[in-house]
Amino acid sequence: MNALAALPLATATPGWHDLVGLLPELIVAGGFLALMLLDLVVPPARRTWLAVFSGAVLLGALAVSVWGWYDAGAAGRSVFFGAFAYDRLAVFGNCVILGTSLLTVVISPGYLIRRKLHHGEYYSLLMAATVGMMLLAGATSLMVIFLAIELLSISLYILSGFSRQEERSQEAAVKYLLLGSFASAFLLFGMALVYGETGHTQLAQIAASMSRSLPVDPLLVGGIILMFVGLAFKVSAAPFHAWTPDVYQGAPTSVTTFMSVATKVAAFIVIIRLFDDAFASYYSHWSAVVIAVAILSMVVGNFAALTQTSIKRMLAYSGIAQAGYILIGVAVGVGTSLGVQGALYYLAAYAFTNLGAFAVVTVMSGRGEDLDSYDQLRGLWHRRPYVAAALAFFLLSLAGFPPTAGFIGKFLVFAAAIQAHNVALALWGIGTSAVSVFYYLRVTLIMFQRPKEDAPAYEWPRTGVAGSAVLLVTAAGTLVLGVFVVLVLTVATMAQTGTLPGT
Amino acid sequence: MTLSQSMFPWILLTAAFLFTLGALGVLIRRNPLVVFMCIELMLNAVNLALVGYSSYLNSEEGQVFAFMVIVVAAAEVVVGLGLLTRVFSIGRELDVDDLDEMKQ
Amino acid sequence: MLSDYAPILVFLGICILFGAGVPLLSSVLGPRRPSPEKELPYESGIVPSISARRRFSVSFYVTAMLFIVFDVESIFLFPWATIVRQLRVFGVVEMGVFILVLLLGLVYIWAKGALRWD
Repeated sequence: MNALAALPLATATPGWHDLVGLLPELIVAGGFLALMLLDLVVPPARRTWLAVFSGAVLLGALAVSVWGWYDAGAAGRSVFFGAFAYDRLAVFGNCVILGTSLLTVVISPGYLIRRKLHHGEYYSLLMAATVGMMLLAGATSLMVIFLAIELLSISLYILSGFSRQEERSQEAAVKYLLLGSFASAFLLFGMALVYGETGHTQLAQIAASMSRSLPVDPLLVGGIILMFVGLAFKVSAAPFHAWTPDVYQGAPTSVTTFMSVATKVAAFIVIIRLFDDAFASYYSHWSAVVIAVAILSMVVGNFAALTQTSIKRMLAYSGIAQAGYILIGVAVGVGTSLGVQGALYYLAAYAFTNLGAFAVVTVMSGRGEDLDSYDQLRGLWHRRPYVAAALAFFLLSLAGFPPTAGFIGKFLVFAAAIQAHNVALALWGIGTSAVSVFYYLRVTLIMFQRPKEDAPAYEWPRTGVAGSAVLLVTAAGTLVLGVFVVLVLTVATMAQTGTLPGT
Repeated sequence: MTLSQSMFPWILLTAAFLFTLGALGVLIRRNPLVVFMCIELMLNAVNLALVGYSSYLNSEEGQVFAFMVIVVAAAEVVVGLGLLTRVFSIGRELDVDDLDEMKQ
Repeated sequence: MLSDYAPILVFLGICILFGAGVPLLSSVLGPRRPSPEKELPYESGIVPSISARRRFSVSFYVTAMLFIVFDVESIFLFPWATIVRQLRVFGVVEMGVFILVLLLGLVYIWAKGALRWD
């Protein structure tokens, strides 16, 4: 029982090979500290250099991550005594998170300068949140999962309230903080129960202990459900979604861009690790809850999005619905080969598509206030045809039209549900997708309308090189993921083999 | 069986009771500072459960976990108080029901 | 098991006895000659100008918040101190990195003027 005392302490110190497994995280963490100090010496007029510096750090970490794909190998290995997995799932997560962070950094300076929010802390906080997400993607110990979630959450609480003079932004931050800590408490209590009933905090040992215990342990089931509640909050699945529209709308748009994508990717990777691997032997006890949350998210997200008149709120509700589709993959991920693959593919597709959609809103936000209401999009096609086309493309992908990434993602998770003989779940997904077409097309049609003669038009800023580049990359990603399915599916398969490397 | 082990069910019950009390407080109370204190109560209930399990199982992991929770809770309090004083200075009443700038 | 804690109990008892006993003794034995000046709350010899029951400056909160963060981090020094000999060089380096990160945080808030009082 006494696992720690059994280890000879003097020899239990990590070595270089442990540090190599954590190299991308260490690079970004170093970048975070460096940015904090650089902000003190860089004059305010040259703050764009901070963005350049953070971009360079993220690019370096991304390169190391890509190298890690080959270094970790198909089997992957466990580093820091089972606290982290250095495997392809973690590398996959790191790449998506770093890419999201990088693209966010590229569009940030222009937006922040227009909104007069260009403070140096923005970049260091963004780095801190990125480190938290990367650690979460590789975490295989309850303690590390908790610490990583808190690192990313606390950084995002501050970033949500980054517009200090704006009531909305402050309100978003307070709401996110109160509800986020509330959810963390549930996650923690679940962790305490799982730890107590299995006697371990490391997922590999927890999994072993779970498969041994034959009489079902009700406290353990309770712990698993509580942990799911806490994580469902982080991915904003219904009925734990109440914070999402307000926080997405109130936070500065560049922050929303980042957190709507990267948080979801990191949290879903840890959900897959936990539920489709560590807790797999208790599948029959948690699957009903996950399926219920998935269906509820699809229904609530899609129907609430119908009545919105704010683009940021609409995308928030759409994000809730997307979380529901990804949860389908998670819910059937234990019995089927397609479930986890589909969920991972969906995550990559969602990352490009949603990042692109929010990037359009960020890039088109002018001096006075954030671009928000549908009316402010009226006539975008006639003034900024490329931007309008990009947004239309992203919205079609979110709705799941071929040949976009969103179509393949939806196809895979629905196929997984059918593979698991849960046709009803697939039908829920297909039915709610049909509903979603209405609100995505509504926004698209508004962009093509002629602007009203009497109403003062919203002043869209110039797209700029950085903005165009980001829109181009995200649109290309959405298209590639929609066309070259086989390529990416192989990647998703490779990332999935063994989510808990042996210690 | 040591004393702490025979007391263990009561420790876990107390932790669950305190956690529920905190959760109810979050749902019922209106002042964000009090809501925040209730969240702290929930976190400390978790700490009690962790330390209780740790002593029951004779494994140190729970105690280390409790340390982490304490530190994170402190960081959360600092950020929370900072944000709340900010909302104060913008000139709001301290009532979570008044935070409805974005309700539609 | 429980008898291990007996010294703590005895120590607690002595503390309570001492803490309660000394003020009690002084109030019984000491001479008592009250005057208006003596009835005032003690503020290091300065005559109090206002009531103490009022709101405090918000600057106190900033200091208190920073104090909490740095104070609580020291929690990790205690378990570390018990096994630092077994961890050898690694333990020293690891705690060095930890302290360095905290120090950078201190440098940051110092340079930002969060410790300035005005």
